[in-house]
Amino acid sequence: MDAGGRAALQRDLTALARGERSAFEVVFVRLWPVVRGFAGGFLPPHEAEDAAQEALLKIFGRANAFDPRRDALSWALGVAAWQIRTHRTRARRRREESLEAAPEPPDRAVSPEEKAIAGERAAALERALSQLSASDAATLAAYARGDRPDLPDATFRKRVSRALSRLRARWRIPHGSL
Amino acid sequence: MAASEAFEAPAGLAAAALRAYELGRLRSALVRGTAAAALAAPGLLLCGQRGWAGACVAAFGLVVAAGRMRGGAWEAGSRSGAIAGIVPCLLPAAVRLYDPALCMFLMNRGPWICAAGGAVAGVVLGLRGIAVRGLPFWGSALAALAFAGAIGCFPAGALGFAGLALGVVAGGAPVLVTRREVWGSS
Repeated sequence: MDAGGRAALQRDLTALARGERSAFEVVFVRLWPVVRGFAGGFLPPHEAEDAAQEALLKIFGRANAFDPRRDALSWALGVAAWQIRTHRTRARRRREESLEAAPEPPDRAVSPEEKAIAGERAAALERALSQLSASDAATLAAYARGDRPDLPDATFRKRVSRALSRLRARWRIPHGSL
Repeated sequence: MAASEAFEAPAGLAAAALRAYELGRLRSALVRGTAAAALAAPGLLLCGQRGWAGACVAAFGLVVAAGRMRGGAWEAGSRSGAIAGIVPCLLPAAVRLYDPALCMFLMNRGPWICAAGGAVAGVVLGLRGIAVRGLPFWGSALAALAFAGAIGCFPAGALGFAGLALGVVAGGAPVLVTRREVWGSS
């Protein structure tokens, strides 16, 4: 707001404080964009509009108590700042309350859907294992249990690797990938 | 783009703001009216005639509240009348507080105590109303002064009211005439 607008606001708000209703319109037109912009500097857009409206109502509610010796713009922004602070506090409390009221996160126990999927996978794996040769199945079972048959390590690793390759090949046929 | 265009006021906001303004004035008027009535209440409690005096206290508070609500010259007038009227309102009560017998003696001997209070009120009102003309100021000022002064002058009866009126004219007229001549010549 330039110096001229500021002086005009001082004059008009003083008149309004003295009870001259004719000054209401001009004070409203002057103050709304100022208060809206001021609120926009402190709050996100969707909250700024509400806070600016509340602040403007508060300013007009107290206009009769405006002391003409004070600077009108500073006074109005002071009232608006207080209202914006109140709005922010209220919004924060609302957020805190909604968090407290939110339901507890679901139990991390396995859901029935997850159980069904796991069951299907286990059955598919069992089918794939049953299609392997007995020696491949025994090698993979020993590997899964952590047993080490009486074989050199390198030989056992090779057998495990080959058995896994064959298992993957069986698995890919009905399921696409392992 | 001007700021006023960038932030166009939502529909209904101006009406809500005007309502907030009027409510603010009403609250302030009620506070001021109550304070004025409370200030005049000792006159009611100390000098008898409580029925009529009580009505005058209420009317006094109402005039002050209405002046504040209306604002402008009405408010200035009711405020000046209240300040001026508080002297004739409380003077008899103060005398009675000092000496109840003296209060009754003065009341029974004529309207002098009311005239004295009225004269002081006239001077105060004259000083405050030098630069003001028009019905709003003088109407509300005289109403507030009359109700406040009447509270203190009930025990003296009709003579008390006459004394109050004469005192106001005697105190206020010279001040107004003199100061307006000075005001006009300067």
